[in-house]
Amino acid sequence: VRDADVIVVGSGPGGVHAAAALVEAGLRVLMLDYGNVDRAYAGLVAARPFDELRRTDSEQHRYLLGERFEGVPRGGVGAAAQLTPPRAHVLADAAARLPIDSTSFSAAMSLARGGLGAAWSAGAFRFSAAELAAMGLDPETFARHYQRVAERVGIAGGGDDLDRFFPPLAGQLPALEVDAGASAILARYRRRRPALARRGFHLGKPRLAVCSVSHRGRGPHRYLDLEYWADLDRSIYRPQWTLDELARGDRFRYLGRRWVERFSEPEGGVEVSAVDADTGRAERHRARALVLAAGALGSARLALRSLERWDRPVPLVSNPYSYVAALNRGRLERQGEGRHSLAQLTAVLAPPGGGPPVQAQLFSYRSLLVSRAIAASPLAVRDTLRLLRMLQPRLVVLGIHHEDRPAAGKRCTLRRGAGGAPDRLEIDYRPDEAERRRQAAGERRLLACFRRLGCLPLRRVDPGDGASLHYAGTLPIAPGERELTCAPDGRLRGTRAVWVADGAALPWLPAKGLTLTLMANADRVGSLLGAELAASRWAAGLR
Amino acid sequence: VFEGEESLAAEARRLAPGLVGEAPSPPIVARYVAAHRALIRGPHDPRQVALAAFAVRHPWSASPLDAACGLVRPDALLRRKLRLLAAVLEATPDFASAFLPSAAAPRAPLLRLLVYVAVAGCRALAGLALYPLAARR
Repeated sequence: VRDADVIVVGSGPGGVHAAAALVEAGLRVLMLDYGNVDRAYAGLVAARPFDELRRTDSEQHRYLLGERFEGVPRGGVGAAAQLTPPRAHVLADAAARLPIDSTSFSAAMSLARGGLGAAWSAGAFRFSAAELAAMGLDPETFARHYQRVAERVGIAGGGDDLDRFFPPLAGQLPALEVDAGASAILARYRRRRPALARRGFHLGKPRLAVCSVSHRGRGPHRYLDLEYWADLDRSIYRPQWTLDELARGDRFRYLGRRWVERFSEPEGGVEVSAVDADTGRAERHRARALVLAAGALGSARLALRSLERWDRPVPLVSNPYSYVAALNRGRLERQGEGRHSLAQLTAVLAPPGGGPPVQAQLFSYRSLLVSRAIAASPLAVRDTLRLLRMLQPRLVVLGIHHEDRPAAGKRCTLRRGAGGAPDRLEIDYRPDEAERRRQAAGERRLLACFRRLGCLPLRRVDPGDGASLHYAGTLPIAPGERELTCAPDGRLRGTRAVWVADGAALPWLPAKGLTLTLMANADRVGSLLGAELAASRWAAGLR
Repeated sequence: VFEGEESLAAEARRLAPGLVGEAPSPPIVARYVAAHRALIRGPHDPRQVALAAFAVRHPWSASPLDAACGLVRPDALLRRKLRLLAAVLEATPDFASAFLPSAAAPRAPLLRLLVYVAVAGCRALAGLALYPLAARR
């Protein structure tokens, strides 16, 4: 007996948009998900501005430090450095369930309801037509799916120099306000625009998956500066919001606390073996098709294990990422507006003479604790504290992304666990020196442009490979009939009825966040699969 | 016993004024003790224990020694204690104003930055001179 027409594994950005498209196609969907949620801190953070909470809330230590002091910074900046105690559940249990062995790559995976999207910083950037075409995806078709996702999600921003890179979508929402520091940088940019454009440098407000005005019952964003701590107005998009919408319909069923072990393909459909994470009870679910959306690493694990391809390497790509703290030296005209901790500005460097583009998000160091910066400072605590207090209104942090393409030195391999131990994913990620040099050169050119805007770089922090949390390309869309790749419609080759709807299918990553594109691709895969299954059901009805 | 509850509490009371200008209240001290127990576990290098104990006995020396450790021993026990204390103090309304940014953006920020870094450098030099004495067991 089938549980549903389609089983979707994972509730992250890919899973929920594939499910939404399938439900819209009239199919019954069962979502299997581990589904960790924050039970410790939800409700502790009051809907008041962060500064006010800091001055008045006597219980703030509970969510700032955490009940087990897990929010106390330990020094250094690595993967997921910005996760606060209320967001820490996003990474809970993943390391134990899917151990990773790597000396060159820090991978952070999520078993949360909403996946890594539950802590997403909401950067929503379209891939260009050329980038999509280079992935084997049709840009025109894809534009429709960007549009459908944008309507569900709500995307703010547009109407500036970045429209050429991120063409506005119909119904795009007004951009969030920016703060005094970002406003001053933007004003300087406007004065120097022609000279900077000749260098290929363009600046504008970020495209963010945030409801700056009310949209689908969410928002408007209230500028409380609580983005790292709570989702009180639901203005920032989280996959859980789509999950909640889906759960209100009768064609969608969500089964949480399920750890999916493997899939098989008996005659006429798929069978998924899962374990109830609380009771340990094994169970099986059947459907006509399966959509893998457990994240690029999670879906690779499932595919490799189910197809018994232990010890067989598959590719892995991840945007190289670095932080640069900079001093905003110029005059600041106003104070106190646009208080939020999402990106204030986005810069794109597309060198006119060719070379890979570089993209940066500019943040103000605002609602993360000063003690985080103290822990990473080589100075004495007292000196760092005084310096930061003085400089903080002028301190900006650039998060710089580079593109990543598959290469021989970037691989992950599933190793079979011995004696009932879980399988281990072995990641070997070693870009060659030429690639590192290209990235360093791109970063230098970008920082030179920011210097012209009055931003003096103070310190560069390299959090290490994998720290961007952008993982992709493990089961890539590719031409030909190679095993462990996806056909352009998202079907996993070597299977009859298994589709991939997360970052695993994207063969390479341009220098920008992938989340909007993986959601659009999930919508595309769900739509194609939905149409195929609906047509076959219709044909079966005729017979 | 150096890491005993009363020792840790005394440590918080003596080191906090150097960071925020006054000693914390008993609940904040208790929080520091609990956090220390959870996060800073031994065994520690005896020289680092001696250095931290010296800073607690002579709170005026804590910042210079901290600065010196930043140069010679970034993971020093004293630095870990001071960072933890800063984190605990920051997460309370009592000391929020010591951690929240100044109300107005400073003028001549680069000049100020250079002055602060010069002062920090002098403090580190003083700490380096004191270090051998303080770390003596």
